[in-house]
Amino acid sequence: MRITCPYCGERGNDEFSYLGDASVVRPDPASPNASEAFYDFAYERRNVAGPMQELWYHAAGCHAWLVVTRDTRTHEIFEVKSAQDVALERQKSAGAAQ
Amino acid sequence: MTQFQSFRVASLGLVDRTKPLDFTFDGVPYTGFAGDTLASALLANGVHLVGRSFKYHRPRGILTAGSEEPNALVELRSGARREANTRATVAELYEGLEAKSQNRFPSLSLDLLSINGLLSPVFSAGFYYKTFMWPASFWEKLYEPIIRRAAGLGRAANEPDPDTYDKANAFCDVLVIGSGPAGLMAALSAARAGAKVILVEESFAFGGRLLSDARTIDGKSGVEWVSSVVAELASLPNVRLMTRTTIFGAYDTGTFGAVERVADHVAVPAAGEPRQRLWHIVAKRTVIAQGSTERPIIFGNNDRPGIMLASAVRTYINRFGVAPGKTAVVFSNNDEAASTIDDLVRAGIEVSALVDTRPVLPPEIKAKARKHGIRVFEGAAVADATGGQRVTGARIAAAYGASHNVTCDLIAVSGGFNPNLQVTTHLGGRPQWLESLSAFVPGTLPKGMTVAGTANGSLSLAACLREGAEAGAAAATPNGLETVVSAIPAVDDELTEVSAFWHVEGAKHKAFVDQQNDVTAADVRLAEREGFRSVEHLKRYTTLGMATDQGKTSNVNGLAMMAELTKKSIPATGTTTARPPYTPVSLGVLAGEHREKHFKPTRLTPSHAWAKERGAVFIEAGMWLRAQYFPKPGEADWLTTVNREVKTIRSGVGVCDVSTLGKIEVHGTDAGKFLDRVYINMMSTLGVGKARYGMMLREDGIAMDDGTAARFAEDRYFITTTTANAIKVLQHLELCRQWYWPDLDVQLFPVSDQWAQYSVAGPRARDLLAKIVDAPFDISNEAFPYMAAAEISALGGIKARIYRLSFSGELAYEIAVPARHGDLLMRKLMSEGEAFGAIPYGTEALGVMRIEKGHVGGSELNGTTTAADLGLGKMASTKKDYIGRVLSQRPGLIDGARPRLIGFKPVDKSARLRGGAHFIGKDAQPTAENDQGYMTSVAYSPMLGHWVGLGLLARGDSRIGEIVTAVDPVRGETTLVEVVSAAFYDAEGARLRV
Amino acid sequence: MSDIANGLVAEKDLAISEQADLAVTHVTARRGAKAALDDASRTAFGTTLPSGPRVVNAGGLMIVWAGPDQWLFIEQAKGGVDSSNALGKTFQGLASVVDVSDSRTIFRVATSRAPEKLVRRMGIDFDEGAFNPGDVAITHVSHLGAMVWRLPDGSGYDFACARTYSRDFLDWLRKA
Repeated sequence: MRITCPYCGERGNDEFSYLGDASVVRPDPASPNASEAFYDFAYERRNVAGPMQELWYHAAGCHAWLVVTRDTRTHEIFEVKSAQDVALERQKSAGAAQ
Repeated sequence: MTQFQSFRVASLGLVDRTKPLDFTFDGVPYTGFAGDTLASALLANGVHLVGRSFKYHRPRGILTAGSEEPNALVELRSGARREANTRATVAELYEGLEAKSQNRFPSLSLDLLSINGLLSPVFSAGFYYKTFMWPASFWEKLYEPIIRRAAGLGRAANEPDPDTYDKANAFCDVLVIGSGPAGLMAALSAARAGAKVILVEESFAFGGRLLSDARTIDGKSGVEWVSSVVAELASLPNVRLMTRTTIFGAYDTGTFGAVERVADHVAVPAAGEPRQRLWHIVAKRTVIAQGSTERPIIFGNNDRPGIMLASAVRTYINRFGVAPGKTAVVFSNNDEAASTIDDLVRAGIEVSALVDTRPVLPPEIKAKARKHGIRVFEGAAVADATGGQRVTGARIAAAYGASHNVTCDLIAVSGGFNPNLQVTTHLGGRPQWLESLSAFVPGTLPKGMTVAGTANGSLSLAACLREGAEAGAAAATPNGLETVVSAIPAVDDELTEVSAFWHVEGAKHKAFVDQQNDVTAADVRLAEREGFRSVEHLKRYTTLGMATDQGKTSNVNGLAMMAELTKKSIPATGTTTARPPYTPVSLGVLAGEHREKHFKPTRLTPSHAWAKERGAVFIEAGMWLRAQYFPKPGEADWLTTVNREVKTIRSGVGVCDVSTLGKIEVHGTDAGKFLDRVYINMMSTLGVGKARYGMMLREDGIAMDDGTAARFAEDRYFITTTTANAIKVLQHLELCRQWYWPDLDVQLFPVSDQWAQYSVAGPRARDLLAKIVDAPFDISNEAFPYMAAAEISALGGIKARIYRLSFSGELAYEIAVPARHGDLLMRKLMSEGEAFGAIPYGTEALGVMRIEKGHVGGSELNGTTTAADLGLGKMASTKKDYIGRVLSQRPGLIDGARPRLIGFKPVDKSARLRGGAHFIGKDAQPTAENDQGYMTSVAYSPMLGHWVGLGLLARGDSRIGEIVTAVDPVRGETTLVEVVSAAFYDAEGARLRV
Repeated sequence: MSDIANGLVAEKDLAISEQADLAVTHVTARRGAKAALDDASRTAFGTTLPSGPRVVNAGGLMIVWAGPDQWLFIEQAKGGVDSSNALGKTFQGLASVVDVSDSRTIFRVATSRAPEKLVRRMGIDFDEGAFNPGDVAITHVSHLGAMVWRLPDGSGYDFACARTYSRDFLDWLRKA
């Protein structure tokens, strides 16, 4: 499988390491149900058959964390984004919602 | 004794008759020609019997002329280069080739183990599961050795492989796999369109079937046409031509694995050349043009030497100029029989009968047979072959129950054609059944892949050329542009009808479905009766389709038989998909250069050269090679040395290279805030010029790593990690920085290799370092107290850093200089240190001193322990959040009954402690239920004069004074130990603050 | 490392030399300071910083892209001058600056065109036309992390690897 790093270009998956579901968000540690939320965050994962947002790390390249949208059945990759950009976007929309 | 190549046909073949090559088979000398395979050279010498079968030790010959060969497996070469299970049909002949038959005892023609044939009820389908079930103890001692001796393939070499293997990468727009008519046209079209093309051919010559069949293209012979196309391709700079290369697997995103047999066709690789090369090919688009594999028909004794696929017969005649017999029977269910007859006649082989399963043959074929005086049996089949080590005749079951016996020494069989679609299924593609061809053709294809020619089920030469040209042009053209297809060469018409026929009823002898695994028609019937009807069950139960040929000549026949037995259609019964590799791949080529000392990189510390001079004993620690201890002449063993080192350090001074620690610069206006969130303790409050021990947790609350953080400016920290976790911690911190808290202004710089860092420990450490640091830096206890850190210069102007850190419990410092000065610094420390009796020490003394102090190391930070388990719970800040805080408070992790880190000493002071020993109650039985924890680290303490240990013991911190038993079942030792404080030495810490 | 420490290692096919005595500074933009950093760079060195995997020459200075918002500033070490210190002042408040002169070993392969053997040993597309003068890649070869850039004037390639991997890396490079 090959992943197109938005910074470095297309590389073999041997340059990357995988973390997992990018749709889960680290919970607010101050929230009243923090322990349940963190339990879910650490352990509960959906076993997606189909397109899924995943975190990959360009370990042998630029050290960027990436959000890769990949079909887990075919390994087809639809989109690769900088995780930092995705996270900033998420923060911005969370801020706007408040 | 055979005559000299008496089966060569003078006027035919592409072998080079000016280059005779000597070779031996089972010690008998023979001659062949350059351009031969081992199989063609053996056949040229009239040798058909080349091996014994897997289970029944039946005599076997050469069935095919390609990589699908199930039978003709030999041991090639000798000594360290001996290679088992080499297919004689693809092994190129070279001068001096040595080959041996396999699976025979004592010799090929007299095989005593062929008695296995009489025991065949024992070896029937599922025999492993049924026969050798009871008693279990018989398996290892009796059954397995017998089976191993009786049933098996060749022997691997015993010595290390003397050859080297290489890895390579290539990138292209269009990868064309196969160089028959379709592949050549695809490559030509794509190359002419300007695409970067790689054309891969499994054999040593381009051309595919055009080398094996007498065809005319554009008025030229097929061979001439191939030469002209290859010449044009070779002249184009955008084309890479690769022969002797097999694509063994298709992987995601247009990635392919291939093996190039660089030097398999010579006795020994040329100097500097690898034996084989593993290619990683990345292609935007791929054209599969791998042709097809002919199917045998299942009849009695269909495995006798001299029974060959018709296409192989034509290959041996046309490509190799070899007559594989004198009198032939052609047994077929399709129109290719016409070409087979032509070629047999041309080679001077008498054709005694054409047996066709179809009730009515096309008139053209009948006319041809009549012309050559060949008896034609329509609607008939060869029911049984006669003969043992060579076929001697065929019993033909003709229409209306008539039976005819025909004498022959060659049966050319064709049961139709299976497109070579394996590679199209590697990524999960499902083939589809094409009724008109009675075969599976490629179905769903991975993105960017197309199939052309016979691989696509198109049998005629005209269709191959056209499909190849179209596929190549389309593959070369970016989306949206009109493709330009090269002119398609003209060819003569041909017949390509096939009528399904799988196996002959009424065979009197064993009829083989899978010759490599000795799976018979009876085995398939048995599997059906016993309920193993799905193809996957059929395969596992009978072993059909396993081993080196992966059922290329047997899978579809087995499936078709099962379909008949279950009265279902073939597509309803199952399909044939394949996994990589397409053909066997040697382990050597997969390892490439990563073997022996190149198995992994070796990292050397900055003081390595010096330590080597000094006679250090080294130890591998991950990829690092570290000094373990420094023996002096006359020291009896390592323990003597380490005891002396520890005592010298604790009374004087010692120097240890700790450069292997992971080192990360953490900068930015939010650096302190960031570190607060990743360490359990506060780092934002750390003063500039100070250092602090810190611990990081995983999000699940388990300890991940420990180290120190030093602050050199408001926005500039320097942190260390353990040697083992350097890369993991950086990855974790990058995740935190980029994904969790992208709004923080933090920058990370991995600088592990930048600094040579040495620990200088012992009461005289300050005296020694005073000679190293440059004035005016004040190293006194007042100016530079415990846990201070500073950027200084040393050795007369070299940038340096100094930290007052102690892992040994002594007055100690760590001093760092840029790595290029590391050697100089070590030499300087040692020469200046002479006055103080300074010694170097390695990982062993380092470990002893940390255990004497009860500090945790890798054995305690083992992925199961929390900060509280390690006695570091009080370090955790309650004023902030940090990674792992919430889950570290889970009931399971704060349970007081958890194993806690504590110290142990033997009740009998002379007893030795063992790491890994488990704790049980003093008088308890050593059972899993009584397990209370285990010893993590042990050392002989020269300061206390007995062994000391650290361990994780249930409620350990509240059991001081208790006696428990440490059981080491591995070494069979049981030791009474006392639970004590882990701080064995200088518990008050007085020695490090002076 | 002793055999390679002192400069040129003559090879049969390739002229490989270790670039000794370099001052290498790792510069990473502070959060949100990329534009201002570019301005400061233009003022100081006459060039903006490459925003993707490229290398630019600015006088005796080579600026190599080293990841998102990160660059290596490479120059010949001048006795007594601390390059990272000077850069720290130039980019005060705009970038974090770390001296990494001893972190990597840099080998120069002086050839206008990478030979076939080297091309096929690289895990990235290193063909003429695919990896052009001024291009940079952070990648790995044979499990060893490496950076490579093609000199902007096309006269050669620089390979940078972590200092403690340089023995294995040179071994790899020599085989090419």
